[in-house]
Amino acid sequence: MRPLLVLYLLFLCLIFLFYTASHTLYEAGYVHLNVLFYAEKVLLAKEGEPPRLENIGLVYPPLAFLPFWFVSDYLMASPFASAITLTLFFSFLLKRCLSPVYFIVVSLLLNPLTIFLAVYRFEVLSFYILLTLSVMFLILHMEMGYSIYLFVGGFLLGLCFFFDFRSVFLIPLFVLFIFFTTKQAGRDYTLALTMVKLTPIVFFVFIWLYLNWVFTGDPLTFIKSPYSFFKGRALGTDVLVAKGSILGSLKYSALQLFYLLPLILPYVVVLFKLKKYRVLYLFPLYLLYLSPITLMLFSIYFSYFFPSYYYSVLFLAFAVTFASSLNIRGSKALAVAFIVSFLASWVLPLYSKEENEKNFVKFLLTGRVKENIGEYIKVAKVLKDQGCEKTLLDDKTDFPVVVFSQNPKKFYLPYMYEYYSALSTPIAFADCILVNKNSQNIILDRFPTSKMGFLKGYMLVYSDETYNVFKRVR
Amino acid sequence: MWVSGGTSKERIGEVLLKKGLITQQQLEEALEYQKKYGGRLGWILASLGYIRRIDLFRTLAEHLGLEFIDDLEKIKSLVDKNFLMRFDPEELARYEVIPARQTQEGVLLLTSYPNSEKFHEFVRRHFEDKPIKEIIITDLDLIKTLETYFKDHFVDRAVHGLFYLSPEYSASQVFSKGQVFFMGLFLYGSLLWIYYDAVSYVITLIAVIQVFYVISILFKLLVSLAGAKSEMQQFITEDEVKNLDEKDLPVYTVLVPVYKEPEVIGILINSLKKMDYPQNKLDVILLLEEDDKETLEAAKAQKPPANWRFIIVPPSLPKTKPKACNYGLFFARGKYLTIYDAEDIPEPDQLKKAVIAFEKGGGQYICFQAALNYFNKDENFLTKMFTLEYSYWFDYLLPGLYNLKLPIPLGGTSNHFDVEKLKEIGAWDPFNTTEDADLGVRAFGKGYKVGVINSTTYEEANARVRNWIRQRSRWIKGYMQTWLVHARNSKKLYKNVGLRGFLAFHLLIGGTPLVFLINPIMWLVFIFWLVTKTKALDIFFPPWLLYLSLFNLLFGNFMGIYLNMIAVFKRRYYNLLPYAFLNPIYWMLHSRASYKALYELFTKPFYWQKTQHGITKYKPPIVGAV
Repeated sequence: MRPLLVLYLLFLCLIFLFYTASHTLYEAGYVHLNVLFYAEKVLLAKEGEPPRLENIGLVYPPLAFLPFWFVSDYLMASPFASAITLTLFFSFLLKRCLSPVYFIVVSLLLNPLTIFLAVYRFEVLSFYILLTLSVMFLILHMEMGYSIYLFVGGFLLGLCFFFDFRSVFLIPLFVLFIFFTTKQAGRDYTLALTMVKLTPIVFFVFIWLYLNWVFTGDPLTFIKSPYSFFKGRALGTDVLVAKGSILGSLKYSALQLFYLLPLILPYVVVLFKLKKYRVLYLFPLYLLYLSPITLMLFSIYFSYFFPSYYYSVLFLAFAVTFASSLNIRGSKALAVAFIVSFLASWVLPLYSKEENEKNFVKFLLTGRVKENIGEYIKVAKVLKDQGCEKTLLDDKTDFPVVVFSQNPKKFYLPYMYEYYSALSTPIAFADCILVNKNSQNIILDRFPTSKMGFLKGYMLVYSDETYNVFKRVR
Repeated sequence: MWVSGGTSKERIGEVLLKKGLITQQQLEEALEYQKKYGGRLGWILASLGYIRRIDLFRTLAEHLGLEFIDDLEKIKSLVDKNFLMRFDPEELARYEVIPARQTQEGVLLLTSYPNSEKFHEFVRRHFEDKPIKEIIITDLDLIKTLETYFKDHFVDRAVHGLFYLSPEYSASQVFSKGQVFFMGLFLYGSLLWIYYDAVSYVITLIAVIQVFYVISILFKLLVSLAGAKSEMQQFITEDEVKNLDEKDLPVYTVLVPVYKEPEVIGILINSLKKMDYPQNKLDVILLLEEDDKETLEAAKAQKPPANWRFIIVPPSLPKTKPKACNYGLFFARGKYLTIYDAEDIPEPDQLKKAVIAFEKGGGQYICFQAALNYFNKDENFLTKMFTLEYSYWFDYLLPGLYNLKLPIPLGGTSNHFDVEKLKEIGAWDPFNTTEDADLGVRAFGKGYKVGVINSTTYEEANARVRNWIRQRSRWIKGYMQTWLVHARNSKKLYKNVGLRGFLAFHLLIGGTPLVFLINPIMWLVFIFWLVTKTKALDIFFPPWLLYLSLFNLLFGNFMGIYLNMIAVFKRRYYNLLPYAFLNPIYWMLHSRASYKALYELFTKPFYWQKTQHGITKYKPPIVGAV
């Protein structure tokens, strides 16, 4: 069969698989809130008042929003982008050496954690895949000397930044790798290689700083903002202990690796196999191969880490790519490791601290899931039934309501110029107010009594465990 | 009745030896050479510089028992003008024969190569039943005699040859009536639009520019990626060059158009002497202008061998390099032809690679372009930037165009032509100041392929800003001319090159000058906003246009720099890489040159801004050791 046809069929299969999972979970009342978050931001950017691109916030990596911009069905956006990413990844592997690693590739694609990322967290999956390819292209350049590999690898690393800001943590690793592999070749070559590899990511960092400055007045908004990518992580106390401590981070990383071990067993096997296949520049190669651990270590050190099992997908992507590209094959140990990892990926996530992956794998195993969107849909319906023309709410917490309403023009939201005027004298602006009683938000801060159902000039028309809906008294 | 002379029993080598014109060692060397490369011994000795041209022809005449004349006045006195005028001068130049007169006794033919295949073919064609008498004259006297009688014809054909063949492809008319009408309509429409709604006009204009930028960036990226793949395969391998049967190599003409370049002419002469190509099969024509005595003297002082011919191009307008090349083309002997500038240092195996490329191409190719690069790259900022630019252009962009089967704008030198095909499409346009780029597009449009070969010619990079601007303004003006010429035949162009070729032509040939013209305006708008933070510009940049503009500003400039960075790897010019970041300064120089070019397009469209060579402080590298 022609490779293009294989890839096309693979793409169709993947998109069918991912979308079916996404839609079935939706029917069961479950959508990952990340999806709704991106969907709301894109909705505001396209149809908000005014419809401005900066409504995506400039605080999250921009490429995370991209598929939602082009695919109107938010359930399809992540599956679509993931299917493209995985197909491209597969095509890369196909070009190298397919047959011996066929089953491990399939095991990666059918790993429930990969499917979870594909269905809901395409930006994480894309980051993992791009990072892996970026590393591999650098190695290919070193081995073959073709500049296109260096160029593509550098560019992919740059793109990684727009999927996950933590990519910058890997810069020192690349510098060290290039230094150790090229120190014989002269300073000019080392410098040239470093510059080509790192220029895109450095350039993209500056682009992002500049855009933050232009649109928000502060180049560091994406770090400082309360909505920041970096602050959006729910951190465990044990991670906080490791913050800023090298030793603490190392210990915590080791602990995490231990938890992940059954899942990342192939990665470990390949680590030992590297020596057999690449003796010439083994140490620098190890450095690159340790990228996932380095990323974990720095994330813990800077406290941007949340323990999850889906992190193992990055390790597996490295294992698969290195195994196929460096011709590490025919190993029984590797085959066994992949089988163990595949089996573990159906069990371990059930004990995860990350509720979404836990729910997802549980659903795949049992067909049951704890619904999470019913309340938002209900509130959106209430607002519609009450004939609310303009509702005041804080979409930091209530963005799903905006998504399910499908009309952002009907809300006063924090990004709007008149939001704070509406907050100070709501009666002059909003005919409805939505109060989330269970989380800290601007509305509750401004109107503490609203939690009890009292709001001057407004009448409580709906109340449930989480929400109070008020309507203006005529 | 006239009869041809008979051949003496003595071989020409022995005659020359006996006359003391060559040594035994030179004879043996020439015989070895003949064994290896084929060809006539006399010509080999002359091409190796062991005997003078005049001695060769005199001895040849003696050897063949023919009369030899080296007095031009005497030669002219033999010519019956009315008889001569019956013949096609270009055919005479090609066959190197002058039918001097016809009497009852027969026909008198003046020639330099009486016993050649070419000569016999001419005789068969015109005088099959007639007795002939041959007189030997030198090849240079033959050209001079032809010039005496046909100078006007040669000049006219060199200047208007393309126009006579396909007037629509000649840049002699800068703007067609349709183009003038369109420009008028555009200006009128713009004024009307501005009068009624200036804001929407500006928004539309900026939008069109930004969309054009996006397409240009993507196009450049795509072509560069396709070009980078060429690193993985060598079009002509070293083995192919080694396995070439040198006896079968054809005669190769090298045209060297020069003007006021006495200081660099020696570089090329030395380079060509060291070419890995049989010297006796090299036909080097130095094209000089009549008022350029100093270059002629400098060239003579180098004492080039007999396979070099100096041809003085008669004065006429336009005084351009393509006109000189057209003139030289009449006298080219080679099956293939290339052009080198006076300061060029081609890699020794370049001609062989071109021959192999033509053979591999199977008759579809009209031209193969070799890469150009600079030997004085480290001289100063300008030469570094120039080298970066050329490394990217010739190592990535042109191979990319080739791989994607798109029209290739040829570079100024080191383009290798199939002579017959070149003549068929009308050769160079003397009114176009980038005749090479035009020729590449025209050839593509005529259904011929243009390829690239993996060989490099090293040149002297322009080291002075003013000189650089002069040169660059000429190139950009030429791009504008080329675009105007082919754009007025848009339908035909589209039909000939297809949609992809059509788009590539507009983006590359039209887009390049346009980008340089627009850039400073957009930069100024940006800097003005950056400094003043004015809100006055907001009305011209609705959100969608602002995002698009920002994308181009940030991503477009990044891409320009990044693509340029990659250019250093193929040639290992690693020390140049940091200079890629200074590209915006270099682009500003381009913009400066573009405005000069635009001004000249209207005021003196055919004026050839001369680039001064020989100003580098760097010594040219040794050929083969580059």
